[in-house]
Amino acid sequence: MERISIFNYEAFYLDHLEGNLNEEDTALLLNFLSDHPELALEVDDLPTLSSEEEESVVPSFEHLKQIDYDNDVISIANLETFAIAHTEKQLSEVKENELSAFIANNEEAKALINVYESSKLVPDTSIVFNDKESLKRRTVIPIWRYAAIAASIVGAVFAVQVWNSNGNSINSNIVAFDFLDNRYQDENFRVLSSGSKGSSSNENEVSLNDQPNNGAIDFRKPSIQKNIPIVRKADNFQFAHLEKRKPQMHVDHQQDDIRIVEHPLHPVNQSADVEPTVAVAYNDMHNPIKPITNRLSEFTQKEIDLRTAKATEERKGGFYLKIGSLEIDHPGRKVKNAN
Amino acid sequence: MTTKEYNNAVDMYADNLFRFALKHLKNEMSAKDVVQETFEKVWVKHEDVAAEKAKSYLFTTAYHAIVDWVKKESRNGDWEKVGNNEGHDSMQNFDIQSVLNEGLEKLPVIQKTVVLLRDYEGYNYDEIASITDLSESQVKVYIFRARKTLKEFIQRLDLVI
Repeated sequence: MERISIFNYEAFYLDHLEGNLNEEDTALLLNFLSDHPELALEVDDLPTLSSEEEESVVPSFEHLKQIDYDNDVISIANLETFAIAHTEKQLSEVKENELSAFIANNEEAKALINVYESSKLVPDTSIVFNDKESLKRRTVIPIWRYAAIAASIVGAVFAVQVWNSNGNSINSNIVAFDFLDNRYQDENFRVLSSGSKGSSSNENEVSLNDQPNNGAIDFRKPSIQKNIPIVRKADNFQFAHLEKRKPQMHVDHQQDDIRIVEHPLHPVNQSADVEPTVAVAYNDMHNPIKPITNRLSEFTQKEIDLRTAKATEERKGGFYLKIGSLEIDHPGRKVKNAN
Repeated sequence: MTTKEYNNAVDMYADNLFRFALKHLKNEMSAKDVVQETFEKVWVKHEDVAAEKAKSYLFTTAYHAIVDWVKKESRNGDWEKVGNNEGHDSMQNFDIQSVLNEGLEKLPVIQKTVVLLRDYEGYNYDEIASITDLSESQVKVYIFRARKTLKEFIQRLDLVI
């Protein structure tokens, strides 16, 4: 029996591949393969591993190397990286010059740079979001607040009307306020009430004819004694939250009275611990329900005004309400963290 | 950000956000939903967002909305299908931008995002990193890879021409 046969030739062949077959057996194997050419293909098909094939399987990790854009010299090997950096505008002026010089005599390099530069995406501005309005927001106006204010005004006006119709009048007897003595006086200049300063009993009655009259409007001696509202002297008050305005002579032809009014007329005690206020000019305030107040003024024959100031970064909002001689306001308090 | 500034942001950035979302989602209705959702989220926080940061905040919010949308669609198995809806045959269209758009569709989502933020909106690496929660070096790597892929698409066009 031959030493190598179709039943054991694979073992000899494997030993041959691994270099473990001696010369005598190698010669026997080669003779066997030449005698049995039909087995040659099968032998060729046996898998073999080579380092070359391994190298083709392993991916390149060149891209993991860090390139020093400032110090590395531009070459064919790193040109692509520099081309991208050029497209991304990451190169220094020195390197830009070096790259320009490098591609000047290299058409392939120049083409590569051009390809990368044309790889920038450009937005298609014809694609737009058509329904922007649906995304927008609008400031919510608290209608209920204005409605409540309007209702309050109407209620207050109605209450005043009812009060007057019952023969009562808040100021029916008061024609002037004496700021020097801090007291109210009736049309006969009798003291109706006195302020904090107090007044002696001797001062309680003042004769109209005893007072000098130099032709100017005299708070002690009003020349028109009917329906003159309380007039308060501005100098006795500290104006803070509202801007001081000039006294205005207001002639009401229907009621034939003259009113001298300084707005606003609310004292502020500066010595007290009150929140600081910020000046708001009367003209900077606006009437949000002007048609309503105008209508009410016409209806009641009284001056009705409502003005509000919007809140700002420095102060909160405030308001000013006037119904006839009644004035109410709320100053715009300064915001705590505002300078 | 005041209401007025918010509304200005709508005028200035709604189109950009829509294009950004459309490039990712390739579905007009979904892109509109993302824009709507983005602005609603920003409105909730508008008092805390400075006007000068509005654009970055919007794109960050939109990016997260897009990622959520992509994840949801991937689970539903519709992402790949939708992703191929807008495919163009570059062999039939030699416009570079069309070819680039085709290449864009082949990019991984994160590469697409960074290159869109870079090219469409002109953000720098640091800003893109902030929007996408990546490091600056990661952004740089993704952009470099995206550029290489897009270059391959352009070179295909060159071969055809």
